[in-house]
Amino acid sequence: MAEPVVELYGVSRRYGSDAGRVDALIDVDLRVGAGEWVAIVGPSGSGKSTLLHILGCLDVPSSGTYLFCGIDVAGLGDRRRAGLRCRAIGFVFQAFHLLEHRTVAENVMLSEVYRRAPHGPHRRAQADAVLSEVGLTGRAGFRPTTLSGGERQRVAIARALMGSPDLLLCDEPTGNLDSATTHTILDLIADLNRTGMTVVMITHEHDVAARAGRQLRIVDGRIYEEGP
Amino acid sequence: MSTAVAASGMSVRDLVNEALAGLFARPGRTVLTVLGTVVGLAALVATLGLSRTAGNQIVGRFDELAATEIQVKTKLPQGTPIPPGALPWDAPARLRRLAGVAAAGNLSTVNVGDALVSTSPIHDPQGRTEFKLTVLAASPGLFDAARATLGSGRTFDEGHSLRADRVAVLGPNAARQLGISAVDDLPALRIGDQLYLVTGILAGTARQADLLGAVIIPEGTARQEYRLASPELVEIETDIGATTLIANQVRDALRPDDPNTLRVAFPPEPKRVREAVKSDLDVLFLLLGGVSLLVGALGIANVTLVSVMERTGEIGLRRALGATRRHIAQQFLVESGAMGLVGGVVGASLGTLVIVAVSAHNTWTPVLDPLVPLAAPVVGALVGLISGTYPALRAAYLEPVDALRSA
Repeated sequence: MAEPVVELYGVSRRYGSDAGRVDALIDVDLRVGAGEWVAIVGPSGSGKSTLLHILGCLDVPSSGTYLFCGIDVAGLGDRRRAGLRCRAIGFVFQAFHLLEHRTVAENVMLSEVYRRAPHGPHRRAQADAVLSEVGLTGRAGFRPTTLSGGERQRVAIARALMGSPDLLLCDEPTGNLDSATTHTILDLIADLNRTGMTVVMITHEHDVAARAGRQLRIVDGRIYEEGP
Repeated sequence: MSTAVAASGMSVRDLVNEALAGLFARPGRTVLTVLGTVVGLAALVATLGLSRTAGNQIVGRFDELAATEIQVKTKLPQGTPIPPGALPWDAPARLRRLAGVAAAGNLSTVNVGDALVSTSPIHDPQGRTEFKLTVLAASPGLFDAARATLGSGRTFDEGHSLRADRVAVLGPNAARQLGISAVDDLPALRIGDQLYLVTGILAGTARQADLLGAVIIPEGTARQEYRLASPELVEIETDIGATTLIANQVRDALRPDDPNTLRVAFPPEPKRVREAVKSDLDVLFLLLGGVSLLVGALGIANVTLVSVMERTGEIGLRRALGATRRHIAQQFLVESGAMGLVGGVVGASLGTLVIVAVSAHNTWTPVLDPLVPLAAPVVGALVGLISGTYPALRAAYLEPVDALRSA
């Protein structure tokens, strides 16, 4: 396996007190190497979103160790975890999460705000480049409301690609799309993966997961490797 | 890893850009929210300015009337018979020689015993024809010193007093009681058995309200007919600004032999009175403006809180893109502060316009402390920041996972 980007050792996540305790993740071990595309499949409530949030440093494990590119995330404070999110992790959500009152380019450049990226044409040039990469050349000045579902998701992917992250986390990226658009988006993710992007994708659809290079199954908070 | 783990950060320019974008995302709501602060601060600036402007008018009139009056009495307890010479008969003449005295006159209550005042007998068995009225004795200068105005006829003069003529001037209330409305027919009245010719009827008086219901006879007549021993008080009208100076000279002018027997009453220092009047008005109007501002602040707090709840998804997204709690709080604080600042600028302008318009309508001179319109935007921004603090903290402490999930 290539140099690992994600390493989880005995990671558990519990919610609530002892009386009403919910174990969302139980003793999860996981390694994702650089350039891998891993799909995590599981039914609703199985813990796959919790796993994604931990991988994206939006949540912290109750126990266990999470190493991101060899760095122990538990040792980072709130501001450094935020720094990790804006510099090394890109998120793609099922609901797109685009700001509808901003243009496509402004949405794509949003993460630059928290990277303290220099102002000027550099930002816009980079945004145009990633928009071109996802096939949205000429859509920079549009409002998200004027775009189709597939185009919106491609804007979200472009936003995630700004800053060249080490890991692309996709939370049901095709959940709101029809089958034709689903294939387009999966093709785009596959293209990105081929260029070396590490992708972890959560889905409950097996045919979507089948596009990934490696599939994991999560059931009741425990993770299992699935055969090819 | 291609990136070092550095903390996320946000430049001031980006912070302002993001906050403005947030405000312009819902322009209608932003305008309505700002309107609350505009009304509050416009009311505050206008009330402060109008209180100063109106206060100046009130104080100006107060100065003119109250700050030019001096009364001189003896220090004897009220009701005690005043001995001869306690106040000189020629007090008005002595006082008029002082620079700054505009008018002076003596006034005394005449003891007429049980004598009633009546007019010509009218055969009306039901109506009263005799009245127990106050009879006052005045020197001719008193009418000017008391700023009495004539409704009919004329007042008496030095000649009437020197000759002890039986003439009288009636206060308007006394005239009404006696049924005398004009002096064209040379009406007469009786004090006891003595017949007096009515020469004039007063329309009103700015000082010495006792004159309104009294029969006023010349001092010389009172001395001869009723053995008036001494004037009871001396009423003095001074020029504006001369009150304190005259008050210090009055005792020596009237009783150089024993100045301490006299009590000189004059209004407090006009400057102090002006400050007191202004201060009372300011407190009242500040309170009104403050209430208006509080309403504006509650508006900002309410709308910002609603905005936080509506933008939960955006907050989650920003956290996912690298915003810290502090970045989220800062953005909402800048948004609410900007609303307050704009409200302050517009409110100060509107308030100033209101002052100018009201002053122009009443032909007053508009008076406004220049610091007030300059401070209004600062106050507005502070109000915005304070109002936005709670919503901003709520936004900052939203867990990103929950924020993303609830969007």
